[in-house]
Amino acid sequence: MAQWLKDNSSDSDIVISTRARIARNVSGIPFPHKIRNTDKEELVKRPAIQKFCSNGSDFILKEMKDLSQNERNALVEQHVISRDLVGRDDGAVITSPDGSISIMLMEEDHYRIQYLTGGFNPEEAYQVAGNVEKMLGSSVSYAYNDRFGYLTACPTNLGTGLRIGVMMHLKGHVLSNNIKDLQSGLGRLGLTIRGAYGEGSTPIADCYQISNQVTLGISEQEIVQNIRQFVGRLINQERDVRNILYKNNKLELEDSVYRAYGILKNAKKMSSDEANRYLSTLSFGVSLGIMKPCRETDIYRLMIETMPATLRREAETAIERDIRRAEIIQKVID
Amino acid sequence: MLCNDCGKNEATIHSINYINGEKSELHVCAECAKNHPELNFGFNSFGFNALEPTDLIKKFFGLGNDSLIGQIANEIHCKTCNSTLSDFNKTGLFGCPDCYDTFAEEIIPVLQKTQPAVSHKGNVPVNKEQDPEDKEKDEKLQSLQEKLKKMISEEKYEEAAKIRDEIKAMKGE
Repeated sequence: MAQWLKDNSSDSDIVISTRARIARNVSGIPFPHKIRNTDKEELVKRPAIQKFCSNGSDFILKEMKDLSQNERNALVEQHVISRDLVGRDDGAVITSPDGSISIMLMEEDHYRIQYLTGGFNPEEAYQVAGNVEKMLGSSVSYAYNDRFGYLTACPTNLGTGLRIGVMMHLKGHVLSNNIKDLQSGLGRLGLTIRGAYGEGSTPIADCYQISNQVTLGISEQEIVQNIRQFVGRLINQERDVRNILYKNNKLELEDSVYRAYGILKNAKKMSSDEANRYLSTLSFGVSLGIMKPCRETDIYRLMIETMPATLRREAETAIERDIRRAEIIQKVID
Repeated sequence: MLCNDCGKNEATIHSINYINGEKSELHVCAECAKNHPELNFGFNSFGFNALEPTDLIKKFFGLGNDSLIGQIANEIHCKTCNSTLSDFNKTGLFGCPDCYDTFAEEIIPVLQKTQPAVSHKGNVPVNKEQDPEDKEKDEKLQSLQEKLKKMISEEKYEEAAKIRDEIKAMKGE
């Protein structure tokens, strides 16, 4: 689970993951919300399944109709599929064994190809997603025209169809009430800030996703460079804010980090909201060197592994689940 | 431009909204923007509120309501998928790739406000990649055009005229 979260990944004190997502459609047929049933099976799903799940391939196909609501939600929590795909019974996802590559079929577009990697790696994220896109492109003809580039159901993805999203733990900006200023600053640069699960989602555990808002009239390389430049700057800014906060509020911050640790280490049961809140504070404390009961990536992994749908087991009560959540956390936090 | 509210500071935040075809503008400084809760989600570089992109497009067309644009264009259908602009108004989604040809006139002004340019600059599909000779010609043309601009800006008109003729010859004009 969340095997893409690797230890010692770059800038992991602030950045949880980098994701590249490419939207593509098959030429000559309607987009998913207008497509005919025969076309979706024959012209959209079959070529992708044949390409990636043929004999000898270790890629895994999951049809939404074969998954329970909870199983679908768990895939969202692990960032393998989008929230949009959950509600589409005709949708499917093809994933690599570690979940880092996923190809969503019949999402808002026929294909959403994504690659997820730990830490701050926009170049690697785009390169891998781009390679997968090329592989699929050898089996299908993509909808494209010279003026608008790759054609997508929503005009906000036109052109490259590429969105690079960097998941960041912005506790310093949250504590210093700087998120709103950040929103306006990023907006001017053609970037946007969203909750952890994309468009319209609320932030969890002070984690936010920064991504490019513009996709047309800009090349893939420029999108990658913009993200490298501005998110790189934001990483340094978050570190600076954290250091200033610590310098000016040493006792308060140390107290809250030790309290978070105490509760995480000793609680007998723990809700998801509570776990996220304390894990966020603990990660903040680890990055500042206040204490080091584990690495930041261990904490990010716990955040994902203790999410409600991911943790849920059949016939288990909410209390039993909260007990298990506390136990899982205590196995990791020393 | 001075701030609409205080009239003292330079307006740095420009919000343009289209609701049912009616345009409303607001130009304020960063300080006064704090008094406008509708602006508090920040702004993008193109002067619109940084709403989610889908919201932006919906708002531009006055979507969700029976917008004027929707009513006028009701008769135009995409020949491939039968979608109308009203369908787009409801969902923010086009029905098929051909809708971009059918509704190009309507979508281009929106894209001009939301994207850096309405001209694709990125990768092209493998089967559409340019002939190497054409590509070389395009690159040479582009380089000549840049050179032309430079000569004009440096007021070297004789050399500029030569380059202009060279460009014309390449284009076969």
